[in-house]
Amino acid sequence: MKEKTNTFSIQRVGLLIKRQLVTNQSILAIAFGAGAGILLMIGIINCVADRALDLEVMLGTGLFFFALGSQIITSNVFSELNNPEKGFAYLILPASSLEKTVAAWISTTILYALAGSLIIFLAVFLGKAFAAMWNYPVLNTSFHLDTPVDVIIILYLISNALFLVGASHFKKYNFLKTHFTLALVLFSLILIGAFMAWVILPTSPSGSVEIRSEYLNYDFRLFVEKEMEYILKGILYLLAPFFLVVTYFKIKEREV
Amino acid sequence: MIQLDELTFHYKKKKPLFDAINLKLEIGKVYGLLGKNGAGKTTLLKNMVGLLFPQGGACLIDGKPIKERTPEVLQEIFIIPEQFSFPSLKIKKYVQLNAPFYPKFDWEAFMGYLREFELDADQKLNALSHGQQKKVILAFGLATNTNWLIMDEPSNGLDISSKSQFRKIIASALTEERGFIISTHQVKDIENLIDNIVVLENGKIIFNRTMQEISSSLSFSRLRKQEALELALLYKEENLGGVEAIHRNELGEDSRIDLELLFKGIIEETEKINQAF
Repeated sequence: MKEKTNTFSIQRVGLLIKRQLVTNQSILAIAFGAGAGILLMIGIINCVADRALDLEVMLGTGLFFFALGSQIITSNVFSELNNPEKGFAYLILPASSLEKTVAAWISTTILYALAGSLIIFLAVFLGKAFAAMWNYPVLNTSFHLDTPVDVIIILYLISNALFLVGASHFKKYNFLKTHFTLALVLFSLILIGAFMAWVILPTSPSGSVEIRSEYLNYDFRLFVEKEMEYILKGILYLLAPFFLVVTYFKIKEREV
Repeated sequence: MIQLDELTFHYKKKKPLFDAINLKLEIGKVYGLLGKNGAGKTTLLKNMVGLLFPQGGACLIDGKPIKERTPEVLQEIFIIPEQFSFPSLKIKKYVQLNAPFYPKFDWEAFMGYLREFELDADQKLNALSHGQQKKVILAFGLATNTNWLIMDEPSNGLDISSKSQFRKIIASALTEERGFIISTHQVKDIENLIDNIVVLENGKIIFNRTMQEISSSLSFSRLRKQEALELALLYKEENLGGVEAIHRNELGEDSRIDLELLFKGIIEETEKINQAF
């Protein structure tokens, strides 16, 4: 029993994940079932319409639903907390805020990715089986992504961590509010970026701001070319952990 | 021990609900927390379990601030709120998912409480009436064996026979190792259970005495109107049959404590009643 009184116990994280999954099993089953069904339908329609199964269509749709489903499920991971009649049970549950954050992250990011990939794999497998049954060829078997896989994984981790912040911060319409906030932040960043460019970069003879390296002084150009990439990458790598830390504090400070 | 140390809480900045409250609650006792509507009983209980955070002072459980909500502290406290709802699960499943968080959870006792309340562990929680759901959460709370069990209006929603089952079950669960805090309007439901009365009024604890102190200092009697005029009473309430009165127990007589009358007396004549101790 000594382990159970620590601030972090793997055993308790496991219990929290189990509690989360079993309590929401019906909703999750419907969501994954619907996702698999839609994906398979798209595969079958593709087979019937084109007399061939285009894997690019199936996988592209699959990844779209995977990303959308991930955001929706993550946005609702603390739904219990946002219900005044249920929130008490979650807050007084003997587990630390760190354990609660880690459990939410594991279930919405890792377990979801495994389940989502399995669903896509199954749908593609069944789609291929249908194509084989009707003697239709399978096109684009070597599906390839334009963006490197490691970048996709990082973006997935950032997106999920961001929606965890939304889930812990907003009390209603978490998914929509997170999207709205994200759009607002991005729009503000674009505005700030444009303003900075206008201030920093020289004006071209025509009077407009031009992002051309010959207008920059040598040192600044060197900085942009060599260091900026690392700084941006560093920021990108730190974003997901940063959002997780914010989620932790949101849970820690949460009241009913 | 639960200790409220200069606890200050407000929902609106300019209107504090509690202003530097001090209170010490000891394990092994049953505390009845009484107060008028809106006195802040529920808010105080929520502060005690870390569901709300005080703006000033602290609430400590065995010296540790509940605000931190560490597993160690949460394993020793459970609240049964007045309003709650359950997920769509069977009773057994719900308990299987939540009980492992409480190291002292007693499955046998839980099943016993369910039997006492005439409930079946295979019943679906959201198919139960509010009263039955209350029985489930009571059974669960008792079976956690936490050092502190806090109940907010526990008898609300229970029918007459269930209220007597509730009293019986609570009485059977009383031990020296557990403390109970029961907040209620229905004082008659807890009359024979409590050891200590705490009254909350206008953001202050205006009364905090043991039943033994009350019994030895105050006397409760039913008087004729003429008698009531002749005696120095601390509080009286006229009704059809005469006068219900509280007076000093100068002769050391034993009288049945009328909690309802005492509560009204404390609210109306706080100073007079407190001076009797």
